[in-house]
Amino acid sequence: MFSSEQKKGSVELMVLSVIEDDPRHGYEIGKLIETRSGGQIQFHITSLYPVLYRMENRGWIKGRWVEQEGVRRRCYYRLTKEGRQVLARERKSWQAFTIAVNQVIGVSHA
Amino acid sequence: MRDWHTFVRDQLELDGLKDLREERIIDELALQLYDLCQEAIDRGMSAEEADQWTLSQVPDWTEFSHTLSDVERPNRRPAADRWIESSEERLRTHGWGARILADLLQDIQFTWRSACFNPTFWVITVLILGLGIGATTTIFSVVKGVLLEKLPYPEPERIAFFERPAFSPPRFLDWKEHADSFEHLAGVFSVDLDYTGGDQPWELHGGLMTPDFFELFGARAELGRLFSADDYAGPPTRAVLGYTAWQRLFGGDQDVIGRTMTINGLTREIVGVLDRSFRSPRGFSDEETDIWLALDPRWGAFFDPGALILTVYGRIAPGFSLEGAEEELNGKIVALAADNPALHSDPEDGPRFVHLAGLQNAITGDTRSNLLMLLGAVTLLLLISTANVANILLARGFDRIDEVGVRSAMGAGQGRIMAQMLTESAIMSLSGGVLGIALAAVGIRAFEVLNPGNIPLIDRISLDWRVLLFAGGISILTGLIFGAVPARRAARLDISGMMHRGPGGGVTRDRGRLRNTLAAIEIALALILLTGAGLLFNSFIRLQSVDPGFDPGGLVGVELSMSGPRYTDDFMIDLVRRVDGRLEGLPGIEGVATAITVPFQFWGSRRTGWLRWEWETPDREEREIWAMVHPATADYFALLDAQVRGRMFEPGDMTGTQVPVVVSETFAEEICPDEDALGKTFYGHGWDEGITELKIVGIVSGLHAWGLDQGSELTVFPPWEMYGPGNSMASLLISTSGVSASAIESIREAIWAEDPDMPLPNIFLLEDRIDASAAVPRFYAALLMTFSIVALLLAAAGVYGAMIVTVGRKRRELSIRTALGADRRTLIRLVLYRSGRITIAGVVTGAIGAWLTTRFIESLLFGVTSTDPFTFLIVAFIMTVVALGASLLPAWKAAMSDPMEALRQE
Repeated sequence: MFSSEQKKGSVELMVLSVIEDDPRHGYEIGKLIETRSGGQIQFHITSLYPVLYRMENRGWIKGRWVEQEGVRRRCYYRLTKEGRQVLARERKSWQAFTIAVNQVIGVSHA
Repeated sequence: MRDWHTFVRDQLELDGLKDLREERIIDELALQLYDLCQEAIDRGMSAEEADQWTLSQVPDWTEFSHTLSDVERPNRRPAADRWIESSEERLRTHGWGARILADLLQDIQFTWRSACFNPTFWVITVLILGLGIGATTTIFSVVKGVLLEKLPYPEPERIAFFERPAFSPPRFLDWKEHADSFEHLAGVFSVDLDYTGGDQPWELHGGLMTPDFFELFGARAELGRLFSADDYAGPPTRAVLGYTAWQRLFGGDQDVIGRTMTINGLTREIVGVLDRSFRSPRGFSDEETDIWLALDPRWGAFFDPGALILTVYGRIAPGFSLEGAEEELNGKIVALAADNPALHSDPEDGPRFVHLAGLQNAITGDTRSNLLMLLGAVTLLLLISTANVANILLARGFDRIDEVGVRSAMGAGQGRIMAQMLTESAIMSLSGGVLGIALAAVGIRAFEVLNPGNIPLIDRISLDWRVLLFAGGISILTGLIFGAVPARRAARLDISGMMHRGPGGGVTRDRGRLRNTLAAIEIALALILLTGAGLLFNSFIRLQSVDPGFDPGGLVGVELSMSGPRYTDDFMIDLVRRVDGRLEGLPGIEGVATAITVPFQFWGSRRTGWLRWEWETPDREEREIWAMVHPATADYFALLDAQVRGRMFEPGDMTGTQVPVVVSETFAEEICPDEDALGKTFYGHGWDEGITELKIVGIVSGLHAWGLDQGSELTVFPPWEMYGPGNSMASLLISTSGVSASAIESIREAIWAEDPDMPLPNIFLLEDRIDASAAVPRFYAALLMTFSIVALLLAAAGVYGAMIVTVGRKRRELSIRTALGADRRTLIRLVLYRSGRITIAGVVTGAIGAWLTTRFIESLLFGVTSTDPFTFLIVAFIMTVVALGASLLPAWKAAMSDPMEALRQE
């Protein structure tokens, strides 16, 4: 489990990547991050939704209510054009950051 | 499972967020909690355990709410909205009075949102109202300042003005001695005076005043003193300066008291300066007096029954009304006439009674009728604006039927619905009022600066609290008027009808009757306004077409001021001869003549010259004919290119005992009613010692010297060389081949070359003067025409709007008719028939209204009566064409539309 300090810097990056290919609703986003991180990263409702709304207000993602037969209506989030640009930029930045940190602390990839 | 939606709504505190955004967040969080709870149950927890576990996912709702509120700052409602809602909530917890206020706040908020959604509609209606309210407020401000506000004197309602331009000092003194109904009786002789000895010659507006004048008007001294009894003995050598003149001539010098000024060649001592705030009655309608001299009415040439020089004012004694004072004085005049018939009686009419007028009425005079006419006109414009907005709101009310129906179904009572719509109307009209006040501020400033109507007391108009109160009052009134009908209609909606018939089905009996009636009312009111404007315009055109009786082209007038001891008769004749010689030598000068005044030097009721009234006909029969005696040189009429039958004076005429004269045709008809007056000799009293023989050598016809609307005056023109120099005033008439600024300057220099001390304030073109004399009727005609055009457009818009609704309602019927083979012309005729009915109703009503109301502007018309049939017909025709034309567009659109498409949409 990572500390909240460690999570904070990467939250937006994780959310943006999770919805990169398909639109997803809030519960799905939280679950996907948990699954892909092997259960290491879990977002509570109190931290996930503020992030989602902040990114929506900035115009990086857009929420849309969708109704499907037999299923409750849900708000699905997708990336906007600006969101894709931010994702690409943040990814690059994160990769460079981790490489730099690894070099300092002496971690190498096998 | 718990109702997570209700739970989240209760726990979450997102104050100030827009409603939809808040709902969305609640929905989403509730869904999340539902999913988490379901997940817990799927993992094997019991319902209760899952519920508890889910609750633990948000341990602190307050903190969560704060976090979300921070994030959602961009989605907050405007501060005003939040304030209104929170105030509303607080008020609803108090008594019924506070709840009414809460409802009002809610209605205001609703109206604001409605305005944001429909800005175009609001802009148009506020603009229409603003125009109507602005025009009305402007004219009200003028009326208040000019007609209603009291003059700045103590108890101004007790000051009377003696009607007739001027009286002689002997008559005035008799009244003063015998009248009981006046506390003070004072006269003033207004005359222009020459001030020399300063850095340049000045012409000053002088006032020679009798005792009591300053007391009557409550004047005070800024410096020194006002006149005492001793100052009124003998020649007028003591002077009091007006405040502005003191500033202008002496730079506000505190040591001016005791200094002397040379006025008309005589030394006068300054004893005081008037208070800054003092204004004489003359100062309200003309230029303020610069210098006051103490006049002893018994002194020298002033004590002459023929010296009609005094303008007389009286302060009525307590216990007397204006009518009572007039009656009392006239009673005394009867006795005076018995004692001194020559002074106080006419041979034919008996005692010379006086007629008094309140001072304010006397100052405002003709302007009163003009201003009241304008007030009537703007009131009509305001009514038309109101009717127009009512029509627009009715149409809009029709469109909002569904919205109102939903509100009613959700529990809003008739009263609430009406209150909301009335609030909307009130806000709309108050917004129009605010715009109107802004427009009025501009309008008032324009009136002050331009004063195109020569309105007296114009500097007293202002946008003060009374005017603002008036503007606010009419704004609210118009809002109630135009808002009441749609509000009442909306409140009486048939909800079940809506439910059954679908959208738009809530209207049971709207046949557009009310809209048609409003459109007809607008046409009627616009027609009244247009008729008044048409009459004024007609009158102005007739005035302009009056032949002044001379050709003003290239004519220049120069007012000479020759008062003072050095201007002896011989000096004046010699001076004029030398000046004429210099002027005639200038390039472009074709001729120079001299007279007391030249045509249009003054106009209206003002006359300058001397009046004589005692004549004897060729048969030696005594006749009283009030005529102007106007000395002029022989070439005067030739330069004017006036129509003269007979001839002008010749040098040989002036040597015998007979005086050669040219007379106006109107005088000739009086003095010789039964025969041709040309060549006849008649007799005048009061010209010289004894009786003067006057021989008519020429008769001039059609000469309008005092205004285009003044007719041809009874005038006798003797040679200037014989009778001109006795007057301190003379004027030159200069004929030029073309006038320029440099030519004017050359004329000034030529005169100064012969007399450097003569002030020359007045050099003018006669064409400019004729134009200026028509400035007032032109202004009122133009203003009324402007109002009428606006009214016409509004009325046309009213008809257009009514026809749009009619065509809309009749679409199905019209489509069926088209489908069944009716051609487009039939459809157009059908629509025009309906609009024709509205138009005819409006035109007939308007014509009757115009016939009843235009009589009030009879006194403002020239050459046309207030019921001139030609004007009425033209106006009715224009109104009909415009109204039918406005309905043509909806008719055309209806005829051109595809009937199948229309039926499909139905």
